[in-house]
Amino acid sequence: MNTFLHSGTLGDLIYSLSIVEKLGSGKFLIALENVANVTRQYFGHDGIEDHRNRLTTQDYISLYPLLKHQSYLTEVEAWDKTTQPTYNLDDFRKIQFKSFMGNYVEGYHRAFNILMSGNIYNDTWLDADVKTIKPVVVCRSTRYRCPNGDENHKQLYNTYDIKNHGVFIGSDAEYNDYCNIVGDIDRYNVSDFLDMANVINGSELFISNQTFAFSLAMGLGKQSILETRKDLHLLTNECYFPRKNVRYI
Amino acid sequence: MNFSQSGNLGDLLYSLSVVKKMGSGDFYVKLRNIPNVIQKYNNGHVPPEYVDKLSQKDFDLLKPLLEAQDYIDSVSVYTNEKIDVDLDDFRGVIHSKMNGNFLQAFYMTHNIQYTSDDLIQPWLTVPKIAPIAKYVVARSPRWRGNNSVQYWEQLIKDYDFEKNAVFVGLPEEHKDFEQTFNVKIQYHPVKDFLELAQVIDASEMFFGNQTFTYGIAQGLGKSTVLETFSARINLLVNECFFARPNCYYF
Repeated sequence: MNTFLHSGTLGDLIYSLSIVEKLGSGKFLIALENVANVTRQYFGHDGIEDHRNRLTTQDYISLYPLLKHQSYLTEVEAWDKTTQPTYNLDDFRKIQFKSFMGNYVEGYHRAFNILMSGNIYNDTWLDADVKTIKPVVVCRSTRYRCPNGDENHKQLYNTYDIKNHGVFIGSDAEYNDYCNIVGDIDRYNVSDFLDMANVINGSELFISNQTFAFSLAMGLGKQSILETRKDLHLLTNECYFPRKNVRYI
Repeated sequence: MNFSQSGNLGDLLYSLSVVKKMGSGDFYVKLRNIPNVIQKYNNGHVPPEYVDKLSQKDFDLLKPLLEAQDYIDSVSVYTNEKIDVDLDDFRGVIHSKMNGNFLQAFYMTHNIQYTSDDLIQPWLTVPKIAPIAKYVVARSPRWRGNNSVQYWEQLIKDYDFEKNAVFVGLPEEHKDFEQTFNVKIQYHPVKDFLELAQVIDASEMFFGNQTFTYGIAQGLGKSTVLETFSARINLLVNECFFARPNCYYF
């Protein structure tokens, strides 16, 4: 049986699932507290401070139901640090942000020498149930914000009447930040990342910046609006999916 | 409406997509003019392969294919006729004002409204012929990709090129392909580019790199497998990326 290894972090891992079925499906191994080792291996430093101890046991517990839900993953386990995987998905870092600047899904395909269809940016790779909390689901992390992002979110808040029709998913700090900067919004505390995917899948529109939850929305093919980092041209942005139902601000 | 183009062959072929979009007209090919166009738009450096292009021979090979398009009323060598649409102007846009698909560059250059669907519409038709081979293969020396040998070796094996494919292009390209991949593949010479297009049209799938024959396959809307140029491996900035489900890239 094929085994797939990934050390995270969360978004990178979700995008990697786009190639797992094409490589033949199998068992998914999650490496705990290994991100610093991986970034040291590929970039010569320990990575950003928030990621150094990731993925945590809590990350694993939250991820497990979502991964188990995918038909192409037969088993999901924490890596025992000795098993040699058939595919070390961390190897996408050999090219991503190095010789290849662009969409994560294309990066994984190129890193693992997989033929890409012209439909590559429209293909979806996640399955989740439909759980509708509110029509608009919002998430906004503290990283990857754009200079006029606050104003853009305020406009979206009014356009989509997010006060009445939106729900926020994310951490306490992210929720408080959104309420302070943009406006009041209901909050939904997800029980795990399958629950998060279900809630996104049950929405009509998902709004976020370049964060883990956006990778779920792309994997599910949901209509989305993304606040993008502006230090890269959109065509070389790792989260840019040229889909008819995704808008970039 | 009078259209003009100086080439090269692939560029000229992609420009036909906007000729079709703008309606019918007379098409003029400017001979031995690519160096002038490149000097105008690309800071003067003219790669050696463009010197004296397009030639009279190129024109003679192209003419039947262009005449087969119902949106082209006539095809002639340019001799100072009044031109309404200079299709060489795309060189002032592609790789400078935009990066991406050739068709998009032509649409933007000539201020034609387009949608993503317009960028994947075929624009060539040719009279049908009986299939020559299931697969058609071409690979020029320019525009090659990184790590491409292993892909080609796998494709040669999976699609059994020795049994199912013919190679089109120049004899030296055929020889290079056979030597590089240690494979025997039948060479299929053609009398002109209309016949070349017919051979591709009658096949199930085209395999190639970013060369003129790939442009024909895209114009016909064929299933394709493309070796992408190493300098533009991000498909979104690659001029030959067509977001069709029946097209594949490595």
